[in-house]
Amino acid sequence: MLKTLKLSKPVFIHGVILVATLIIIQLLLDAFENSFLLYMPPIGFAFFLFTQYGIQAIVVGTLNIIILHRLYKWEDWRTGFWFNGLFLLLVFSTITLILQTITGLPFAPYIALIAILVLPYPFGYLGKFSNRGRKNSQQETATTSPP
Amino acid sequence: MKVKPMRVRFKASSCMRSNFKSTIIVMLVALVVVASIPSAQAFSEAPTVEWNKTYNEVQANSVIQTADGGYAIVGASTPTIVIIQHSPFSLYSLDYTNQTAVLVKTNSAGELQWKKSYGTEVLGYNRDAVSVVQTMDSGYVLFGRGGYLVKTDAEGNVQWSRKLALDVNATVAGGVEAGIQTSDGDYVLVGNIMGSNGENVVWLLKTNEQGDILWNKTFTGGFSVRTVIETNDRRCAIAGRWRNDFWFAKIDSNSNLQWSQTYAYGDASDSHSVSSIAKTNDGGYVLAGTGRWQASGGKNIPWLIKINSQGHEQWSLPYGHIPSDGFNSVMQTDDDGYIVALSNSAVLIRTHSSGSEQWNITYADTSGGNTSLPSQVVLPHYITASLIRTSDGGYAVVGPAFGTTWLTKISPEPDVSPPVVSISNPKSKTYDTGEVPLTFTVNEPAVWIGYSLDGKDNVIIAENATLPSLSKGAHNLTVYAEDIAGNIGASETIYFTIVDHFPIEWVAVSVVIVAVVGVGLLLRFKKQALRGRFKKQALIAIANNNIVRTLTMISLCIMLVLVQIFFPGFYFSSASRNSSGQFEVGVSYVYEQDKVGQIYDEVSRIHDLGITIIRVNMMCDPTELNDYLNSMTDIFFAATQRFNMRVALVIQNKEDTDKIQYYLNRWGKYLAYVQILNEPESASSWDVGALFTDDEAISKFEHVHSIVMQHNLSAQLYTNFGAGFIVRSNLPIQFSEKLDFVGFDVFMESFLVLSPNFIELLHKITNKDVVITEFGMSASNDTVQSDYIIRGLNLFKNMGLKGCWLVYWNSANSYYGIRGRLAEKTVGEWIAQNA
Repeated sequence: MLKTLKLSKPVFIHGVILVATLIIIQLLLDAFENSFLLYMPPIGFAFFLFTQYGIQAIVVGTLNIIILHRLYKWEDWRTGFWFNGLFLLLVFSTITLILQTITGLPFAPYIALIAILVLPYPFGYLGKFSNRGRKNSQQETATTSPP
Repeated sequence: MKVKPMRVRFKASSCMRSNFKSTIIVMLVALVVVASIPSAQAFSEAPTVEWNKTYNEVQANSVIQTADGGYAIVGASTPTIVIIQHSPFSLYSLDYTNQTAVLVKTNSAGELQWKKSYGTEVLGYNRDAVSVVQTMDSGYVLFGRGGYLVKTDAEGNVQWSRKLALDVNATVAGGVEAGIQTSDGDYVLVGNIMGSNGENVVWLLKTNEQGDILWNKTFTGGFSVRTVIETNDRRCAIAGRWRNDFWFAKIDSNSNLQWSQTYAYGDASDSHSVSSIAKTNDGGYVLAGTGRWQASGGKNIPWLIKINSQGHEQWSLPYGHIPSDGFNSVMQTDDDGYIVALSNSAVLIRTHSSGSEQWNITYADTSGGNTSLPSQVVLPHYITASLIRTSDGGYAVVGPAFGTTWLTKISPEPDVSPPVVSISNPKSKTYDTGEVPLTFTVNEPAVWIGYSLDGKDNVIIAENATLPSLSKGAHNLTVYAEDIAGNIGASETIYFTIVDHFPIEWVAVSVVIVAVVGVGLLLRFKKQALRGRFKKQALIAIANNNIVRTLTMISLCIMLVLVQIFFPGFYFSSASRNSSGQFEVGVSYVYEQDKVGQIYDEVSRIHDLGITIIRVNMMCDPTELNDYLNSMTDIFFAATQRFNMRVALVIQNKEDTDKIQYYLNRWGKYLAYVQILNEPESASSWDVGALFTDDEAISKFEHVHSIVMQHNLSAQLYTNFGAGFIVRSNLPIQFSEKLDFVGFDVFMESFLVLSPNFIELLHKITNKDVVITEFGMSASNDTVQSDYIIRGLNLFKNMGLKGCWLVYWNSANSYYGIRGRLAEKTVGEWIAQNA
C-alpha cells in the first residue's frame, strides 16, 4: 500500500496540476463568457468556442506533455498536444456537466471544489497514459518507469 | 424614327375594365374625403401673396428670375382687335398680323424696367416666344415658337438670331413647346410639327451656346410633347401624351429614346396629357397634367403621377374635387411635397409627398377681365403659364388673362417644421468604452442645440462632442435643436449600452504565447527524436500504436461530446432536480379565431384544465372604440377576470406605437405578463428574409420597453427567444437587464432532448429565470402530440423551471392546437397530478 502511494505521488501531482489548470481556465471562461458573446456577435461566440476548444485544449495538452517530460523523463508524444488536451478537456467538462446536472449546483465554487478533491488521481493517471511517450535512454534506470 | 412605347395600362382584364370607371369614381370620392381629413403629417401653413403686377398687351408664356433678383417674362403681344362688321350687329376679330414676341424685364418688386418686342426679322412667321433663359453675360436667349433661337444682350437688344430646322407646318402642330439650357450651356428645344402625312411629329433639338445644331431628332407614332427637363445624369426627359395616355420618355446622350413609358387610365375615349415634369429628391419624377374623363362629364381633372427613376409608377392621383381644370406646372418642395399650379385658375396647391392636399392659395383675382375690350371679344381667360421657385424660397407665377399678364410673387412657406436632427453616433449598440463621441446633423441652421442623456436635463453644445465618461450599463440619448423660427426638433432616441472593455489584446497575446510555446516544444522534441533514435521497426511499432491510440481517443472524444449533448435531456426526462418548486402551465389562445360568444366558454374550459396563464396576441383597433376586435378583447378580459386567470400579452416585433399605446391604456391593468418582441434573434425585418440587425432589434426592444414602462403596469416583462439566441447571445444578455425573466421557445419535437442545454445556457448568460413560453407544436397525430407535450412538461418541471406555456389552445392549423384533442385530456390530468 505504502509502495503504491509512493509510486502514486507523481500521479497525484500530475492530476492536481491538470485539474487546477482546467478549473482556473473554466472559471476564467465563465467570468468572461458574456464579454465574449457581446463582442461583435457572432464573432465573439466563435472566439469563445475557439478559446474553449482550441486554446484551452492546447494549453492543457502542452502542459500534460511538459509534466510527462519533467516527472517521468519521457520524450516524444503519440497524440498531438491539442488532441490530447481536447481529450482531457472533454473528460473534465463531461464530468463537471454530469455533476452540475445531477446536483443542480453551479460550477463555482461547488463543482470546482468537488473536482479538485476527487479528480486529481483519476486525472493524473489519465494524463499519464493518454499521451505516453518513450523513456529517455539516459533515464532507463529511473524509479518512475511507466508500467 | 417610329417608336413604340412601353405601355403600362392599369386594366388587367376586361372584367376590371368594365368596373374601372366606377372604381375611379369611388376613388375620387375617397380622395375628397381623404383630403378633408386632417393629415397626420407635419402641417405647414399657406404662404401669402406678397404682390401682384400686371403688364398690359402681353400674353406671357414663361417667367424666370434673373440674376439681379428681378424677373424676365416672355410671350407674345396681345393681338389687335379688328371690327369686321358694324351692322346689323358688330362683329370683331383678332388680328395677329402685327403680333410680336415680347420680353419684359422687371425689378425684384415686379416694377417694369423695360419691354422689348421681336418681330418677323428675328422670329420668322411665328412671332411668339415660349421660354427664356438668362445667359452668363446677363443677356437672354429666347426660344421662338417657330423654331428660332434669339440671343439678346442684358437690355434685350438682339445680338443674333438662328433659325433652326423647325419649318414643317410648325404653326399648325404647335411648334416649339419648351426650351431649356442644360448644365453644359447648350440649349434643348422640344416641339411638335406636322409630318407630311398629317401625323404629329415630336421634334427634339440640341444646339450649342452659339445656336449651332448638335443633334436633331424626330419621333413619330402618336406622340405629342409638352415639356422637357434635364435629368440628373445630364440627359433629357420629355413628356406629353401618347394617343390618349400620359407619356414620359428618357432621352439618352445620343438623342435616342432610352426608354418610354405611358400611363393609361380609364377607357380609350378618356384622354390624358402631361403638362409639366419635375425631378424629385429620390431620383424619380413627378408628372403633372390633365385627364379628361367621360365619367366626370367630359370635364378636365388635374392629375399627378409619381414615378421612379425608371419610369415605373409609384402613385397616381386624380384630383376629382377640382373639376374643369388641370395642372400646368409642378415642382417639388424641400420636404418632398409638391407645389402645383392649376391651368385655368390662379390657384396653387401644396401637397404632401403622398400627393394628398396640404393647402391651397388663390393668388390673384383675374375674374374682372379687360374692360377696355369690346364685350364681344373673348380673349383667353386666365391661364397659368409658368411657376418658378424664387431665390428667397418663395414662388412666382405668371399667366395671361384677357390680354394682360399677371405676375404674382408668393412668400416662402412659413417655417413650422421643426429641424430634423439625425444622430450618426452613438448607434443603438454596445460600446466597450466610456468615451463615446456624439456626432449628429441638423438639416437647417440652429440657434440652439442640446442633448439629453438618460432623460436628464439638456446639455447645450455647439457642435459634435464627446459624451462625458459614461457609466457601465444602458443609456439613452436624444439631441434637440431649435431653428431660427423657434421650432424645436428632436432626434430619434438612441439606446446604447456600455460594457467592460473586451480583453481582445489578452486573447491575442495568449494565442501568440501558446503558439510560440507549442511550436518550440514541438521543434525541441522533434529534434531529439531525430538524433538517430528512429529505427525502422521501432517506427512501425510506434505508428501502429499511435493509430490504435488515436482511434481510441477519437472514439472517446465523440462519446464524451454525445454525453454532453444528450445527458441533460435524458436525465431530466427521468429524474427530478427540483420537484418541489411551483410549476405553472399556460396556453396561447388565439381568441380572434373564435366567435365572440365562444370566448367566455373557452376561457372557462382552459381554467377547468388547471391552466393558470393565457397568452394572447395584441388584438385591437385603435381607431374605432367599438370595433369588433375590441369587443372580443373586452369579452376575453372579462372572462379571464371572472376565472382569475393571468394573461400574457405578446407584443410582436412590428406592432406600431399607436396600437401598443391603445391596448395598454385600455387593457394594460389586466395583464400579468408582457412579452416584448418574439424571437428577435431570428425575426425578419421589413425586407423578406432579412433578419433584424442588432441595432434594429435593440432599438425596437428599447422603444417597446419604454412604451410599456410608461404605463406603470404591474406585469412582469419577458422576451421570447428561440434557439437562434446561441449565435446572437448579445440580445438576451442586453435585453435581460430590463426583463423579469426570459422566455424560451422549444419549437419542435426533436429539439426537446437538446433543450436543457439551451435553457441552461440562456439562464447562465442572462442570470434570469427561464420559462418555456412556447412549446407543444407537433405533428397531426393526437397520440404523438400528447406524448410529446407530456414528456416536455415532465422535463421542464424536473429541471426546476417555473412554467411551460403551450402553443396553442386553438389554431387555424388544427394540428397546432390541443383543444378537443387527446392532449387536452392528458394535459389536464398531468396538471392535476404535478402542477
